[in-house]
Amino acid sequence: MRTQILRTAAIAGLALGVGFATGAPASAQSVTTDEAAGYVVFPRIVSDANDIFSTGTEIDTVIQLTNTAADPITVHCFYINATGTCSTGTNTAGSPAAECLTVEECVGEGATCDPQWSAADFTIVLSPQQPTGWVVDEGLSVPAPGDGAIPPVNTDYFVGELRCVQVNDDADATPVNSNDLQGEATIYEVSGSTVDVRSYSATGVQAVLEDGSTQNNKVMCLGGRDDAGGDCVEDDLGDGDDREYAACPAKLVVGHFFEGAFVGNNNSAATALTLSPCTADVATVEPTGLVVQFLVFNEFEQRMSGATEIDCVETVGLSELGLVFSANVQGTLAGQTHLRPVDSTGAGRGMIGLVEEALGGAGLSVSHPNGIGEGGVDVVEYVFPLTP
Amino acid sequence: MRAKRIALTTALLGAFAVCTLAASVASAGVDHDRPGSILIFPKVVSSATRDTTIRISNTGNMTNQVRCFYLDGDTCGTIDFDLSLTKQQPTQWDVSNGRTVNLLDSFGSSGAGLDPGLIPAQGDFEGSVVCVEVVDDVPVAQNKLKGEAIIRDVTGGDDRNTSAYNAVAITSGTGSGTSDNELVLDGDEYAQCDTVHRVDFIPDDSPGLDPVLGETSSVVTNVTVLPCDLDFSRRAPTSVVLNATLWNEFEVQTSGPDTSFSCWASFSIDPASLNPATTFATVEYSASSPVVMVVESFHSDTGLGVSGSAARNVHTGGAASTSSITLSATP
Repeated sequence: MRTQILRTAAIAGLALGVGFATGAPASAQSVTTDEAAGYVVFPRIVSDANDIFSTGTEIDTVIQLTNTAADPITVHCFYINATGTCSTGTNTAGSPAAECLTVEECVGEGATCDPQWSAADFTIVLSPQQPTGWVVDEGLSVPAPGDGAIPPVNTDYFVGELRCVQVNDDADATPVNSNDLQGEATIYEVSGSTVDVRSYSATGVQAVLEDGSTQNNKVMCLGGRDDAGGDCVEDDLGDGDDREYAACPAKLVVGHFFEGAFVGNNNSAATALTLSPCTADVATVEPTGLVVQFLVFNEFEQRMSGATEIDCVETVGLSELGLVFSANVQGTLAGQTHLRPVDSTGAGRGMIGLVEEALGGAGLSVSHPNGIGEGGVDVVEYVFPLTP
Repeated sequence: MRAKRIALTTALLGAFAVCTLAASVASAGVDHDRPGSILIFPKVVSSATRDTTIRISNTGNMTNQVRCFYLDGDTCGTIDFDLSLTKQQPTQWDVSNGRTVNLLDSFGSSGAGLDPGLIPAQGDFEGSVVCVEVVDDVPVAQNKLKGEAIIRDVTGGDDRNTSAYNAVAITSGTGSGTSDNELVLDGDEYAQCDTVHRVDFIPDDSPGLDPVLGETSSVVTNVTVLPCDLDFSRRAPTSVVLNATLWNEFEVQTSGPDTSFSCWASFSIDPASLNPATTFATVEYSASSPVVMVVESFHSDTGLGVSGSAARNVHTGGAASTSSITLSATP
């Protein structure tokens, strides 16, 4: 009898938990790195093919973009240039765009190194199942039966991101409700004696309505519905899912080593996070500023917290976020960090990211943060053509 | 007494799920983007030139017990061990060395932190690691595990064959879970695995070879596959046939060669059927039964005699079916 009561309690507890957990409506579409999507983001593009600052390392990125559909598709893409530029217009390399990594590369009194926040767009057609790829420093003329030209990135040193949207045609470029794009980026760092390569899958934001129809406008609602007036608003999921795209995660969870940790025989670890707000105004290239709150846990279950700010896409080393990420402070090799973005009102927003880890003497690698929850309504807005 | 403990723990856990799972509810899936209840690291290597660091984190606010299995890709033999992760605890270990339980591990050493349990060293090893959330040895899905594998170059030379990928995370299904050692991946107990996977790759006989490294280069793309039908109890290997369909940049579709294997496989993509070979290509693998995959590319500068590697997770094609993971019995 007693055993029966216990068994009943166990089953009831489980049923309660599972029932509650699965009772909420959940969209089949998601923000994903392993399924094709209608909107894909490559948050980390780097190019310095000519090593303009004489660091001894040439850097470039290869993009692969594939149409997974049995029909041709049109794709409209934007490079978002987040490269630093010297305010004085002159850098130590003498390059026309006056790029800089830090203010150290700038020439002139009072110079600052500020991100460009500029955008360049292009449109291509991919034939059924067609894979394509290009080196971002070189661009590409898409092979027939596909069509279109992909320009090289517009500065000798480039850091930024690439966003691509599946659209109706190359004359109008309005998003369509389809999920047929998959992509990967491979970043090369080549020195005189080493070849260091790291690779990641683009983050795909899936369209909820997958009927191939053309959307109302060039305002893409992530986690929200289009109110037909050009605004993205919250959707009442109780009467069906009318959102245009899946919602970005509300929180990113990152596994990493602490800065300076010795992993195996491979010397010290260093980690860089690339964080990109899901809201993006490509029409005005107005950067989306977010405060990112972080909670850090070490292997002792000890917790520390802090916050940082990002403008548009940004890559930040964990060591730049303070000693809280130092192995000497935390005392363990592995850490887990929760990142929660909020806007100026304190409301949660969506964000995607990448984790690049360097193990001294062994090389670089990339993994993806895990996403948890939904970050509310994010808006991606663009005009076509971007530059008449 | 033991039954009582299990029942009470399970009851509490189920009630607790009200608070924890509700915050993280998402559609059931097998992916690399969300925490899950079963973690699969398809490619794990420990050799003279490479070692793998496994990193697992409990993303929940309750202690999470985990049962893990090393699956030897050569023999299909398994070794299991248990982990206990406190709330939000990350942990890590090198496959070559495992991890001991030592309260005296020095600050900053590889064993520092709350010891998750004794993790056996593997020496030379090639295969997979599979980890399952449990409570007192009973599988209970909480969807709180995340993980990464970092395959490290340990030669100390100029090669940079270090790669990382996210663990494949299988979430709970839409049903009421399981109460035995057979985890059915049917969408009800746990999410279903995929049968179709797509890999974009650079063929190793493509014109111009590696698009960045140029004429004196080569690219080899390695695919590692693990069936989702796993029987750790009877050590019964699952046989799988992978049918390959390839596309080049001219949209020309070709087939094969197909790949048959049992238990676990790691092979290089054969681009021979591409006609003609182009710098970039795609292969779609349709498996006779559900599998998980990871891909790793090796980019060599044959002039310098050095190489670098990069791993990534594989895109799935949206076709899933039922499989099961049978855990070995506990005492």
